[in-house]
Amino acid sequence: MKVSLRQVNDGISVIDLEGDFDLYSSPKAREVLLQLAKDKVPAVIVNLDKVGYMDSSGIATLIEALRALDKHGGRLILAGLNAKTMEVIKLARLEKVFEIRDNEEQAIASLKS
Amino acid sequence: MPNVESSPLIRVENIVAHYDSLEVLHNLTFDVTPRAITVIMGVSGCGKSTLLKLLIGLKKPTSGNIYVDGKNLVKMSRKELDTFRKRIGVLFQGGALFNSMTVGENIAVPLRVHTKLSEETIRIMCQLKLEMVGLAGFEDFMPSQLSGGMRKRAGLARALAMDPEILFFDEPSSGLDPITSAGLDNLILKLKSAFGMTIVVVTHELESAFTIADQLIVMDKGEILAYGTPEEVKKSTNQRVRQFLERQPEEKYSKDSQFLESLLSKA
Repeated sequence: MKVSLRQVNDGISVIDLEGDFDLYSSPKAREVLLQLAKDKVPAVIVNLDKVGYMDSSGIATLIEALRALDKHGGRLILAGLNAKTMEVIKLARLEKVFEIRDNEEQAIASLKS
Repeated sequence: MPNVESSPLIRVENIVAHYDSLEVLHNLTFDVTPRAITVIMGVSGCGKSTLLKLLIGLKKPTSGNIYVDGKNLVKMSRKELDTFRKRIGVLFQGGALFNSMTVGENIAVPLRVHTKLSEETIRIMCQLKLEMVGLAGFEDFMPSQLSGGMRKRAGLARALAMDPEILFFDEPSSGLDPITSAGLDNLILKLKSAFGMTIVVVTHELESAFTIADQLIVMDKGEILAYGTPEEVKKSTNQRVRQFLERQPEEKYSKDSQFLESLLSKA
């Protein structure tokens, strides 16, 4: 899985994930997410637009990041989930735990509002 | 992730298997479709559990081939078999948990052995799996403290630990009450849908089989009697299939004279 980080305005960090978010690739995403939490960034958007498959290690990584960011009042928003990845989130009954937006633009708008 | 949708994930070709000199599987051929639920059903002793052992590489057939993604399972080296087994999860009848470990440790074992995930990620994954099977909060229990149905669900959580591509179930409903059994059927359907898992279920439970199956295989005396979609199998005119589907008791001897003959032959 390809993991890339970029900054958008107002201190919002966007992580773009590309590929399968699974047992073998999730440690890479975890490293980047936990570093952002350590740096106390105010908001992180995880762009899952190009993730075709996510397993429970992917979800576990997102939960860990959510908690780590929450410690300093930071926010984590998931954007661009396809039907399959959304179903995985629902199977784990986490659709109300995560802030979920259809796409990056909506995620940015909700952070600004 | 499974390969192309249209090609079979597992192809079983002309499989014959023996226990000592007794032939128990006679020239079986069928395909397992990726991202679908294949149910193998039949009465006790029909050979379905032996077939499951062949499909997970626990027993070798006398002849025939089993291709997984085109690779012959029958001819795999130990290393290749290990790689194959990382792709599969198996729920055995009794759950097959390690009795000296807690439920949580049982689920964590394959993740600790086969991945480089952090302990925190593993801990959260274990919680997620327990939540999925309805055992949240039982991670510190020992298997001996659980009921049979709970042990089975804990076994399923462990089978799911590595998010397997192929999940095998051996009689998932046996020993479960109807509500838990229906809940398990529902979970099997959700696993297929959410994770795109390929699922193979061995069962003699008709209701469960027709609820979850995309394709059905009806076995009897080591042979395949019917193979197709649930609708196709329902329409089968094979007398043994009809007997099984209509739950008619087995008439071992059609005539009194046959019964007498069998007694005399053993005298």
